[in-house]
Amino acid sequence: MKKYLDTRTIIFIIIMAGMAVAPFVTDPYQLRVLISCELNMIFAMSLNLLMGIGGTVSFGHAAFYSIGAYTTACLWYHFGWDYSTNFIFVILITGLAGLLLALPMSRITGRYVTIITLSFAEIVNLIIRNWDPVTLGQMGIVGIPNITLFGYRFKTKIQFFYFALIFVILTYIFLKWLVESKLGRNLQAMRDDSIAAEAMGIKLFPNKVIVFTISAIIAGIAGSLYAHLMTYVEPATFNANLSFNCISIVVVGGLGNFTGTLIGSLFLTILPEYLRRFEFLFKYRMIAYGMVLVIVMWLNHSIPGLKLKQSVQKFFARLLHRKTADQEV
Amino acid sequence: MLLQILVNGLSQGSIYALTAIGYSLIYSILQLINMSNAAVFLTSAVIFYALYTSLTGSSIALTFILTLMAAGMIGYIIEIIAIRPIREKGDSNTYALISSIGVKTILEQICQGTFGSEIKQFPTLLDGKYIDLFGARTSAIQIIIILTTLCILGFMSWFTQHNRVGRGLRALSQNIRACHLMGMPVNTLIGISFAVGSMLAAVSGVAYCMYLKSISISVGSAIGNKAFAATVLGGIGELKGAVVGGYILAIAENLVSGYWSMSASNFISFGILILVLIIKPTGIFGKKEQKKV
Amino acid sequence: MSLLEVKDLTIRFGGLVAVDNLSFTMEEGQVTSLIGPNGAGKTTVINLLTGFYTPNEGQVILDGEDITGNPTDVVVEKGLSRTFQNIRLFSNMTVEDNVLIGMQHRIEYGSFLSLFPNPRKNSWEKKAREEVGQILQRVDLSEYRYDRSTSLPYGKQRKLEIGRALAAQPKILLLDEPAAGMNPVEKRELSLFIKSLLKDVKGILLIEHDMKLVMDISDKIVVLNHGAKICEGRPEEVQSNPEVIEAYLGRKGARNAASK
Repeated sequence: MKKYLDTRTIIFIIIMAGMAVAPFVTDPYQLRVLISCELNMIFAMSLNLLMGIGGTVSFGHAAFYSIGAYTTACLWYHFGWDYSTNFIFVILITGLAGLLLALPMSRITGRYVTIITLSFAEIVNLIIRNWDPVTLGQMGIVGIPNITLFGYRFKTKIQFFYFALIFVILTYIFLKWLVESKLGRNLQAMRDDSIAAEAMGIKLFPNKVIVFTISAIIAGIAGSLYAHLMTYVEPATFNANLSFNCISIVVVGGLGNFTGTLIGSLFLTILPEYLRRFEFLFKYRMIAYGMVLVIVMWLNHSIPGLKLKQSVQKFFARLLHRKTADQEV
Repeated sequence: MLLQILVNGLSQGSIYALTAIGYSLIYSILQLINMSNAAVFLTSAVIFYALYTSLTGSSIALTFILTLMAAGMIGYIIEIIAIRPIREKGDSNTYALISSIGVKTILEQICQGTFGSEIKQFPTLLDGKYIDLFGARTSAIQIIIILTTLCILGFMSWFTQHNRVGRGLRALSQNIRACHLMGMPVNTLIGISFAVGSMLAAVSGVAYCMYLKSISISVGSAIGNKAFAATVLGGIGELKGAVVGGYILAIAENLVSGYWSMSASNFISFGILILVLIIKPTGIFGKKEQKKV
Repeated sequence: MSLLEVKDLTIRFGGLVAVDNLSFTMEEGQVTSLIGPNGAGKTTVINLLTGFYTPNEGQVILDGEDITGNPTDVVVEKGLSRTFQNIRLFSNMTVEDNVLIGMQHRIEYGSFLSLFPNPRKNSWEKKAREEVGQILQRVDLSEYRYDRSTSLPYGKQRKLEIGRALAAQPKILLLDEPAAGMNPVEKRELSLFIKSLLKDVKGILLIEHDMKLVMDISDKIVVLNHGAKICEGRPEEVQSNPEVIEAYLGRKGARNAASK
């Protein structure tokens, strides 16, 4: 039977509860790490919507993140607007960018998606680098203040933390709604077999456009929060590695598994920060990201990997079984 | 002026073309965009630099040969570790692609960790010698690059058309499973194609740094992206497409930076790429995919 | 008026004429079969009918309505639903979800209403899930409802594909080689099942290689060779047609068969 509270939801609630009490026990530095963790969660969930549900691997998702970050930064810099107004523009502009990227998707299949998303990110980065009057080019925009909502400026990072946490929860719930709806089902059908989906009367193109737009908007929101967290934005931050790290998080957590994405974000954000203590390891911390990609792919998508996984699972199952058997005796 | 641009474009295009062939070769066999190619480009340049400054002293030829061997081995190992297990399950090659991104990250990080982030001087051949080619000031290294590339291209076309291994690779690009059934050493052949692709990237990496007379950690990603654009422009999976795409892209870039501005030349490559993808997504030589129902 | 009328349907791929001036009709309440040697263009006909390919010439008229060259989603709404030669289930989705996809065009709330809970969405989802129960009962898969579609055994996957097509409530069901890879027992069961489907749909167009099955359940058979129709009629008429025998056995084989 279908359960209303499945394991994933329970784990989600546990993680969120843990996050909610975290500020009481962390120092400012750890809090900052947790906030960037939250941003990664939102960012990676948006990518997981595209990859896991939409079946499109975007290799340039950082583009939307950077558009979101720059939208709010530029609006603050040029007009001094507060986040409540900027937020609307972030949604509009990143949504438009997602729409723009989705348009060529009607003409292409498979491998060209990789190419288009990569080039799109590169083009966005080039525009940010060179559009001096608006983005201030290579210099970037500095001194962005903490989030201001309707004239009320957040005073502490703790407020920022809870504000971002609300977004994490909202995103998660929103995606859950989406996945369990007609739209979500149609997207998954297209992911599994686009020809059969077409034969069942699903219009591929509009659905692609919708999923790209929604994913772009969520990534843009994460980016806009990032600008206010870091207090500066510069083009060098939003490179291809940002997209690849995001892919790592999604892949570690599992495609289409949003709870997994949350765990992946926690793991892959906190681990490099933890490595900071060891200078040598910190220097090579990105290797961890690379290894994680290779290893997870190996475990999930290769025959020896799957066999290993199975036998480990069996081993633990037997271990657990024996324990319960002992207790019964 | 135009001739000068052409010469510069040709030498730059040679570098794009060599790396682009690496992308195309592996794509034609596995339908995999091997993201680690750009990292091998960088890694080879770093290996060359390390060998030259520490071990082999001043012999460029010896260093070059050692670098080539190392690059070939790296390519072969990448295939064994990161690609082979995934490809053997016959799953979607998106996973192999992600795995190759992992390899790229690892290689780049190792380079960055060992090499550091500063720009260093790179050994070059016949420094300061220039030849006047009908009014175009051409450095000796440019001519060497163009000639070497032409030789390699000639060799590659002989290799794929008339050599036993090359024939095997072409058969693989048609149908891997059938090759397996025919008793061909599929794994070795794919390993070789990775090794060849990496060696080409190595030639291109070393040549590029010689041309710049300097090396920094960012050379890989810059050229990697351009070579990738060239591959797409020419039609991914087609060797001649990679070459033509590389030259067109480099000449267009040099035209724009010569007559217009430097920063616009960065846009032109991706502008061309967008146009191609909108007008003819399969690239110049690419064949159209038939929708199979 | 016929249920489905195909007039002078032609499609060319480059120089190859895959379907050549094909005309036939389907009547209500009948199983019509499309047979022919490998490469005769049978699947191409289905792709033409369902809008995957656009014909170069000719017309497809469903229940008096011209549906020639309509995109697949319109064709499904008009009442044609198909299965595939090589099973094409949505592999990472449950059996229930597969059937829900089949009926997606009848679930009347759009993408925007998908994004948040609302009464319209809730009531449609509830209704749809009830209907899934009925369909799964119809194809005898109720116990697998929450299983992954690809975890089903082969024969059940075929049935699920038919169930998914039925969920669209089509006028005509197009079955592309449903018996492929089945053993004789399964085939017998399948032929009864297909016959019983006429209670749910107005007509069935069947493509099949297994002659026994075709002869058993068809009311009418259309024989294709090299894209062109060579014969049309009741099973016994087709069986005795010399051109058909020649197409299947070759000229020499046909002579041998005749002399026996």
